Amino acid sequence: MSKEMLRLENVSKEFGDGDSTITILKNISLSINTGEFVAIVGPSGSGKSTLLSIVGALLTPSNGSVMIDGENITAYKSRRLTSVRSNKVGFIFQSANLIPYLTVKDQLMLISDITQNNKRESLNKAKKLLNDLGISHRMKNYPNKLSGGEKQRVAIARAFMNDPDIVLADEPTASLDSERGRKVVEMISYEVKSRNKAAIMVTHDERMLDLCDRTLYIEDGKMLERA
Amino acid sequence: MFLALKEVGQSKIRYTLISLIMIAILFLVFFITGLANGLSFADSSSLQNLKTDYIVTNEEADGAVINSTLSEDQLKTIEEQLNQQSTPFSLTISAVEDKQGKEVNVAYFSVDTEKYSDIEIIEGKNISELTGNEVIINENIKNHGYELNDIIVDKISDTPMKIAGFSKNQTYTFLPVIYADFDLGMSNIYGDEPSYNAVLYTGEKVDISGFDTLTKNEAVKSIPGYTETQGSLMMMVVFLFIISAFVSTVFFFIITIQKLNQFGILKAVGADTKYIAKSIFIQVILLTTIGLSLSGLAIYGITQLLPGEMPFKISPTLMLGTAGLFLVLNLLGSLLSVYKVAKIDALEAIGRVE
Ligand SMILES: Nc1ncnc2c1ncn2[C@@H]1O[C@H](COP(=O)(O)OP(=O)(O)O)[C@@H](O)[C@H]1O
Ligand SMILES: [Mg+2]
Repeated sequence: MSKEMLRLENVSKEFGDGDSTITILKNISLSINTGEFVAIVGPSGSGKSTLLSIVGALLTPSNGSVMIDGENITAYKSRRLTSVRSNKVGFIFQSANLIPYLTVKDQLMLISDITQNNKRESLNKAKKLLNDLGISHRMKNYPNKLSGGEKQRVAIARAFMNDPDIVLADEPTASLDSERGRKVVEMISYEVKSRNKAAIMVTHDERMLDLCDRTLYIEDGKMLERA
Repeated sequence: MFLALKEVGQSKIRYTLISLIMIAILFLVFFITGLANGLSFADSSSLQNLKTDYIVTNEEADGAVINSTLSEDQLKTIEEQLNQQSTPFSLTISAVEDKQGKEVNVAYFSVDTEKYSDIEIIEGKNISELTGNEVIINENIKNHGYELNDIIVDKISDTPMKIAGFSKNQTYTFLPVIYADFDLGMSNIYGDEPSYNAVLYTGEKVDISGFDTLTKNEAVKSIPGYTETQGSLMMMVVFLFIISAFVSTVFFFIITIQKLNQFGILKAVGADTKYIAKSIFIQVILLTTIGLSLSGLAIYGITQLLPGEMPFKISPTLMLGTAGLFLVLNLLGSLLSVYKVAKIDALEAIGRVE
């Protein structure tokens, strides 16, 4: 049972650069369904992160429209974008970007504090996620005690804490060796499938693409799709 | 709440240090405030507690009751122009001898005991009950060994006086005040004629040309040296407030700058400026409250140790007021950090290689 979760129509993005403007994304349209794990690859500077930021309500497009679960967020101002991020989007960053003074458990509980969710339920959810990802024994540890792979797994768990509609990962394996990187991507894929989320992962590593359902290529802000 | 407390718990050294600085500064703030208050009190409590609404002095005195002299004629002129009952008042500085023969300076407040209202008494007779050579002395004369019904002798006029009562909060420029009737002659120990300093009256203010009419507050401020002392102490307190607000502001600002990246992540995962600002405010309130309570405790301890003659006086109201102002200043200072947080771009967190 899959339905359309994300839809981009003719999205473009320009940045002012002194007097001139540079166009980073050109007329990008795409649609992603629940349960779908999509990879984006492309050379550095081609606009992958920018695209992810637009999908993730961190940036608004210059043209075109963005719909998440049927809700058109294109014209949202900063406050509503923040609420979209806290309720509909789960981010996994390149470096895990954990908060240094929070234990693994609290990294996840922070999300429920932001969204003001029930504490008990959230704690159960956090335990289950950490268990799924094989790091429940790290619950009480601080980030500086974790390995790179463990940190990234915590980041994955954090991204799923708010029950997002879409999960976005920007080069989540960049700081890991390929074996651990693959393991992390497998875990993202597993969570996406078992929870029926829509997910986009930007990656440099072609060896990860077999774990994804589709691969989108982006070059100079233009998108090509290959099966 | 969540973020604020977890962070303080994890950075104990950092927050302990800033708390210590706050405690030290606040201790000084409270101490100097208490000192200013105590000095003001010792300087002026007798004038503040005069049983009057208005004080009429001559024009040359510039409001300083001690420097004003009124002749019998002037007294009449003033009394004629007042509809309400008034009483002449005389202030004389002199000395008495204590039990060991040591000189103790005192201030005589001569009044008409039949017209002047009763004052606050802790032991013995009140003003209206005085007869013969009976006087009322401020309680701190007890430090010199005097008791009720003792006889003390004025050093200048050799007048013997009987201590009929002890009053409270009656000091003038740190001297114990002795309330006496004009008949005892303390107003003319320096001359033959009785000398008057002022006329006191209650009720509506009446402007009498050729004379100054002061409220008690104005008279207090005109005590020679009073405004200067209070002004200097006030300046110290103000500077301490500024310093402490500055220290706290800079501390939180630097911590905020160090955490800009983290705040970027927080914003990316859906925290808004309000959520982060709340966490900063909670930390400021927490640290300030800890600083206030501990320095308050230290001040309480110090007041138990201070010698009785030390002019130190701090009331719960004064402390709460000072504490409240301090908290408000620190919160205002933390707005600088909040402003910084508001400007953080959540994008910082995503896709940027460090
Ligand atoms: N805020 C911005 N202002 C101007 N140019 C930007 C901004 N953000 C990104 N760019 C530019 O857009 C291009 C694409 O950036 P990015 O999306 O990060 O690429 P990728 O993630 O594919 O490496 C880069 O050339 C970058 O310099
Ligand atoms: Mg990028």
